[in-house]
Amino acid sequence: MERNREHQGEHFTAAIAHHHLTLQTELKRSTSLPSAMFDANDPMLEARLCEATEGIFRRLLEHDTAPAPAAGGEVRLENVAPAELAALLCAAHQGAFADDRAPDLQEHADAEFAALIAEICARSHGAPQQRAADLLRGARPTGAAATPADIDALTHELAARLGRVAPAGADDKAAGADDDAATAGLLAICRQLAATVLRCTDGPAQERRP
Amino acid sequence: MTRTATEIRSDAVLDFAHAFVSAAHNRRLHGRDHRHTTSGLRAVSLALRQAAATGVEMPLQLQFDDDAIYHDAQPLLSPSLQARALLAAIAQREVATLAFSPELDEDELNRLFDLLLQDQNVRALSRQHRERSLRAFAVRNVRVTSRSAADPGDRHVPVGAAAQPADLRVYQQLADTLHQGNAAALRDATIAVDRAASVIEQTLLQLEQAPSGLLSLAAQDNVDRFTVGHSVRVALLALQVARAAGAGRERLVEVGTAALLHDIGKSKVPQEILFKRGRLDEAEWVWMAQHPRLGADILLEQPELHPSAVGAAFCHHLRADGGGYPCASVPLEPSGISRLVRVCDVFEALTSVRPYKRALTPLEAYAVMRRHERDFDQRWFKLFVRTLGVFPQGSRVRLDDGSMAVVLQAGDNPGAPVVRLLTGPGGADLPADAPDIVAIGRPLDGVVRTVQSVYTRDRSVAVPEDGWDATDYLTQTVHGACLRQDDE
Repeated sequence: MERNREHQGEHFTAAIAHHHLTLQTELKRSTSLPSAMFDANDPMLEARLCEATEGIFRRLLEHDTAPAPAAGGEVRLENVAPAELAALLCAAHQGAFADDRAPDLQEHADAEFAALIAEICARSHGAPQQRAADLLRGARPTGAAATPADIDALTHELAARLGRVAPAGADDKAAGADDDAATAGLLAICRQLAATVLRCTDGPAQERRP
Repeated sequence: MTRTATEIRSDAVLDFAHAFVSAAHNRRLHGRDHRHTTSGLRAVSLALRQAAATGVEMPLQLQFDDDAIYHDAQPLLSPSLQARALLAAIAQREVATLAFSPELDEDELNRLFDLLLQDQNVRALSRQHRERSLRAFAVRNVRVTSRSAADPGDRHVPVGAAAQPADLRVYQQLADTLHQGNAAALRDATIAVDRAASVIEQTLLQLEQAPSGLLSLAAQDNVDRFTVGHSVRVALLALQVARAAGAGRERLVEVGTAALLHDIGKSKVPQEILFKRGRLDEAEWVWMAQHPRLGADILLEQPELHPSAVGAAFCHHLRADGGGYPCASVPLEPSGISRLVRVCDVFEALTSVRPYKRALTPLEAYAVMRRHERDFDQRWFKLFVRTLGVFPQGSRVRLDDGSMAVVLQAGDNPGAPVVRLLTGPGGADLPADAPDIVAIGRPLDGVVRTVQSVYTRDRSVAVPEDGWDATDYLTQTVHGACLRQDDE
């Protein structure tokens, strides 16, 4: 089999020629028959001898091919009681899945991306972090070099804004235009903070990866 | 549900075909000696021996045409769906059949792939060179026949169409695009975003022209060795729901691409973790939980990609109540697209087979998702249920007279689909002159059919009758509108 490993990437016609040469060499080495027999161009003789030789090699090299045991582990099935299915169907019947207005695919799209580039800038490393940093720089007007005092100020501002956003529950938040404004402000601050950290330090903290 | 010996053998053949397609993908995308290739080759060898042990006739012969793989002239639809590149290579070599003996080992299979997949060997399996090539590459346990009308003993078996070829090709292109995207991500190479968008556009066209075909294929593709099938199905689900939400073509391409690529971070997770049976240990879970973050990292580097794809990759495991993972260090409000992808992702995961779990029916999946309602944006969940209906397209169902059927379309209300009969009453053959399209809940020859149970690959679930009247649902809300049967 070692010979065949050499066939990686080999053109098949070269492999065929190589194969024939090798077989002829092996046969001549392992038989007392005169070379002239193999030069007689009897294709059937050659084919039979090739098969026989290959068969011997194969049996010699065969390893145990018993099937490996299947990988262990349970196969779970989430249980759903018939009563729960009936309740679902009743709920559907009563219009529980009805809604007048389709939700908006673009909802929070800009805010999501802004938060994600800040997140990737802060917690990833390598090329993605660099790309996020570039995007952040592009999103923030260039100005004077930041100082640690800038970071302090921005962090306090961030904390103050967080304090205004965080106490609102999910239900309350959906209703409040003030909260939307607060969130937008918070994200803007996050962008500034990340960009400032980038300029003031050797690089953002890196998340440990497995 | 007890499986018959025939079903067990049929599953063994399917498993082998899946393993063969997967191994070919790994070999093509990762090269000869990559660990993914090695594990794929091992899986083929094991599946072949298991097929032999279950009594499948050996050598196990697979037949090929341009669009599908067959066994005993029956299409093996599920493995065919992810076999676009392999089928193209086989067609290029004019191979009609491959017959595998159980002695086939991994090294030998790898050498067969040298002949089947390497460009320089495209003529190696032609009739003229075939036997010598197989001998030179020491492939002894696979017999190859060629497509040729000239030799009746060696002729490609005409097996008929497995599905509408256009559906099949679009689905295969989606899967192939994702395979290539995953391989590119693994190598830190650029993902062909243009190609993904182009395939999504073709998918949209196909969904507009004949939605049931693609969705039926999605229902078939429920054995997932790469997470590719999962992502394709999530993309198809997201496209349907986004269309119902009124999205225009450009937005639909954006949604479809984001959904298709949402799990691309898994390309960086070791396969032994990704496909592990049973519970992940803590270290494995750390790896797995990184995939949204890894995916966002990968996608952020693709300059052509719309930012929503980065969001969907990062946010598809974030719960609506703020839980889930990964934990972001900045306040993060997922976008509408990310919320939609999350609903589609969870539904798909619940309704498909995983190494560690069996598939739920869509009805059961809705019940589970309803149980965990704080996990999802309820607006998107409701729209999802309204769009797909109680019996989504492609679902296999048994009717009250014992007929087996497949759901073609949702019908006028989500609980009363239009189905195509696969058998007659009690599982008997369908009479040749009988209509095979039936609208559930509507009289046909004076009889109103109802759905009695829904099937997954290996089990059935009875549909409760109490409190549920499909016909009565017509008086209730469908897409927010009130539609009465007697108004029509």
